[in-house]
Amino acid sequence: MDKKIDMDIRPPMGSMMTPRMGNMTEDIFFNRLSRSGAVCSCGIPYVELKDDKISEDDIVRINEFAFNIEKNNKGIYIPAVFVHPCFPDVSCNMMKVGKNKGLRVAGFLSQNNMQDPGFRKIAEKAIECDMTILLKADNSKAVSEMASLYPQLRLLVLFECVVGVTPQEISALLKKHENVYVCLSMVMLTWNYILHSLLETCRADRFVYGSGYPFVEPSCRAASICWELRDQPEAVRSAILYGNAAKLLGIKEE
Amino acid sequence: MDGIVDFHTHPLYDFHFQDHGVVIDSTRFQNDLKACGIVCACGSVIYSSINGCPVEEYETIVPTLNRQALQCRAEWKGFYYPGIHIHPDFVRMSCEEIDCACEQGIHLIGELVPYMMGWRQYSSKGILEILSYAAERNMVVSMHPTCYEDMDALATQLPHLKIVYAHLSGTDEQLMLMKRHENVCFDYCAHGADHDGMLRYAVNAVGSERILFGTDFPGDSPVSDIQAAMDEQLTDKERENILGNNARRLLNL
Repeated sequence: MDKKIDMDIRPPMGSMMTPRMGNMTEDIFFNRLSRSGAVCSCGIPYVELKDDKISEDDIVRINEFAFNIEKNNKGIYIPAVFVHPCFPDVSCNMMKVGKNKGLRVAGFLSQNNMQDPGFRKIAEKAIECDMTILLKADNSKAVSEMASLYPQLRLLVLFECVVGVTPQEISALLKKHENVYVCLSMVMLTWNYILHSLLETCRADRFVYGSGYPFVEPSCRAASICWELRDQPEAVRSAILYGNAAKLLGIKEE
Repeated sequence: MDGIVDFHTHPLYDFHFQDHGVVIDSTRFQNDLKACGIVCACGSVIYSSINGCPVEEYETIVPTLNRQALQCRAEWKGFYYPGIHIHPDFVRMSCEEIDCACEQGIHLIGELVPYMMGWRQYSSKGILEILSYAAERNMVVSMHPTCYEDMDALATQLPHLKIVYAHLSGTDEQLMLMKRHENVCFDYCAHGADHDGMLRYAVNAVGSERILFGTDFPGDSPVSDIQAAMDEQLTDKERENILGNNARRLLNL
């Protein structure tokens, strides 16, 4: 089985209820994730917020939880620093803490709050800390806008849409912006021959494997992506499934 | 295991999501499925161009699609088990198509795709008449889902009809349908098992003998749904049922 780094996971804070599995604990989560071939993973713990409202305390709490999960799952889980444009100061502080711990990814930013002053502060801090930002988007135009505004900022895009972004748009986006990476947890990229043909026009070093677990069964997602990569040389498969993410995370090859 | 039976495919379907330009011709269709361990593909022939035609045109479109399905079967030498189309606005034509299929040893209708052919309800007069005729001839009908009430009404009114609804994802409504009606099965094609633990959850609720493997190929890749069955905590017997035995039993393969 191909070795993978999964760049889009949401581990439970303690435990969480899932529709079919029922109660999912941290142990169950990482156990099932490992069956997809993921030897390492990165993401922000999943938390249900009261009335969808976030507080400064939530930002600190979620990050501390993530650091604990990392302690319990050394080498298997690398946190992404949780930030929010509503609280740029505490977010920037957490990024500083994360940087001291060797963390290289922060999120989430979203196209919906690109105009917030807090957004700029966080983006600039990410550049200063040499961190990649997890960007949630549902159209390529917004991503292009952000990539142009912050050309020194690495963006790992999590497209949160089934339709709304075409393979042609992804190809154009990656050609235009050297600082944009696309996470393969996007549903469209698992459909028949989409990624397969996209790789004829795009550089492989800009795609990063991710599953979206626990909202998607990770082995199924891994199988779909590996199927789309079946005609690629070993070096390309390895880069997309592992190497590109390793570079973003600062993992040194053995 | 005797090899995987894919209960839900659409040979010759020219659907290329977002126009990626890849032609999935009959060679690629067969090779891709066989590469995943699939030994038999079932299902109806459809094309993008049949979508949204004037209703009267389906009187000729339906038999044309069915003839193409028969041609595929002849050319693909045992790899393909055709499902025929019917149409509620043409009861006589549909019953004649059922007779033709039976003469050819084919006992599968569908996957029916009402959303492409201008009709909406499975519990309408025309459909009930046709499927009652189908039930008498021991046909199995594969159907794209409509709403729970409609699907429940059909299963209630035709308890002797063998029904396979598509796209099981383990929702309470789907499982309730199967619990209420012994004649209802589901296939889980097109990422139904993407929900972690879905297959185990569904088998716990309704057993493994009414869940069928399907892919909806070529619109979707085959491997995701296979991986779900291989990876889920199922017994060998449950897995074999889902991946082939149930389809073989229903279609007498």
